[in-house]
Amino acid sequence: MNAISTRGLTRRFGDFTAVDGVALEVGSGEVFGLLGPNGAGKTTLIRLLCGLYVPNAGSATVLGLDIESERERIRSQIGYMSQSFSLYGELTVDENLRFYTGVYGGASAGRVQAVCEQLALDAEARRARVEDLPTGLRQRAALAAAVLHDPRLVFLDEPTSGVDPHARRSFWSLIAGLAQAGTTVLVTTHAMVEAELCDRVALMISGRLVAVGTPAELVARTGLQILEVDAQPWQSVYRRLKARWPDAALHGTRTHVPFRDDHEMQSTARELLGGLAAPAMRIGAPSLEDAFVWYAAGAGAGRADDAAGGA
Amino acid sequence: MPEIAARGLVKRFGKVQALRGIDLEIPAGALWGVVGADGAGKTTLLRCIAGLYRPDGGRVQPGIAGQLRLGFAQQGFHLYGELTVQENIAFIGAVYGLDRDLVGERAEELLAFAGLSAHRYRRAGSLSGGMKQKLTLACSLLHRPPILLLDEPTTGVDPLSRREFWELIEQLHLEGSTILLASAYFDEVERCERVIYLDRGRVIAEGTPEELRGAHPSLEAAFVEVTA
Repeated sequence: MNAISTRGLTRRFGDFTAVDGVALEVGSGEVFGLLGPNGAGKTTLIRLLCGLYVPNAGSATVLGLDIESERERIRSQIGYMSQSFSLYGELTVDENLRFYTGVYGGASAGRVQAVCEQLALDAEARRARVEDLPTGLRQRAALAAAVLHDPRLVFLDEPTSGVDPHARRSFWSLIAGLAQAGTTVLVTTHAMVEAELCDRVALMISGRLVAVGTPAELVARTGLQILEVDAQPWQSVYRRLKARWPDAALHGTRTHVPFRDDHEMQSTARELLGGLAAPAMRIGAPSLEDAFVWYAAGAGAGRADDAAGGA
Repeated sequence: MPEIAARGLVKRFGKVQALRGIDLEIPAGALWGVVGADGAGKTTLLRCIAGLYRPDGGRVQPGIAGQLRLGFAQQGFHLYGELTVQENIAFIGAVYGLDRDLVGERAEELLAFAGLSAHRYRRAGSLSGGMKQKLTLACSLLHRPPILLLDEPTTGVDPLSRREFWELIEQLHLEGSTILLASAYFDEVERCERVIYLDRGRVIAEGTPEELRGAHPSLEAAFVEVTA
């Protein structure tokens, strides 16, 4: 049985269709990444699956339960960590956890202790008021609240937004730990380095899923290659290449130019950069970020639909 | 003379020392980045520079005396969700005491610059994360400040919108603005001319991205090692 299974799932707000005919299968124990531009409908989809919104059309099961008729039963078996972390700032971490235990029912003191140990929330952090904690610890406390009742499926909506690299890395090892213990994780993120850590990802644009697969499959499906140019001054390298190839983009200070069947790329680029001392160039596979931008930028032109249809 | 400067800057909140003696000189027209772990003091530093916090020790410039010379895009969304894009701009213009016709004129320019012209009548609260950040930037530019402070302007913004946002920053930099930017994204910080590492209220390193990266594969890897 899949942890999540949806068919034609649709949700409208007025004349705006936030989720548009989504068909999605997420396997048990998967770490599944939901990617997409701001406003693509990711949060609405999660809220539908949590039973917080009712669909206008289509159907879905979560852990084998129907999201409309069995929503109460779903809620006791899932965890949800929202973008804003949804803890009470004036309460301490312990007080928040006690409150959530009361809401969900059932977590023993031993379970609270075990979760706090697993998430590296020490006694000092647990005694602190949530609003006094740095973002990284607030985020871990929110995750603790979301998994206290030992849910079989957790939804994490942009859990690492605004969190520093240390906290981001340790958070992802916690996610891996949850998955190893058999919990299904559905996570949204804008950081493509994180998306690459997922078993599979779906790319959502304007309410529709335009591509689903492993990160490597999504990249391969674009059929793109990347000319990467690393030369100084990078600003003028970027501007010159961008003038010729509007899809050129910066990755750090290196310019990436996506292309498909241009055998003259390197020599054309070299001409464009004439006068610069030996620019370092290589042709390689696109990153997931290259692929994301390619799908997202081309959505209006039907590019993404082509790619999804050809899959 | 530097546009942004701090000497021995100290800021306390109760017993917590958020800034423990910051020295800093950023010349006019520069694009600098500041990075650090959560709670390192990035936002406090920007707020002191912007004059929103009074230092407990040392000096800072421009600070409160220079508020009209700087634009500050604060972290998160601080505009009025119930007002339209255009109404937000008009309101900020009124706060700065700008002439209404002048605000109208600049609003047109800024909406075009930020790619928001088609969305002027939308409620700001209904904009996507990327558009909100562009509106925040546009509002902070309304009084044409020569100095721009950006606090994590692309947090929660998707990769495509992030690229568009950086085109705007690059353009402002080319036009001569002095920009100090705090970010958690190291690929962005690599585009700054110089980078400051902040750790527990102190500057622990400062240099060009190349200098700070040293032998590490990326700036992020270097940062993780230095601050581990």
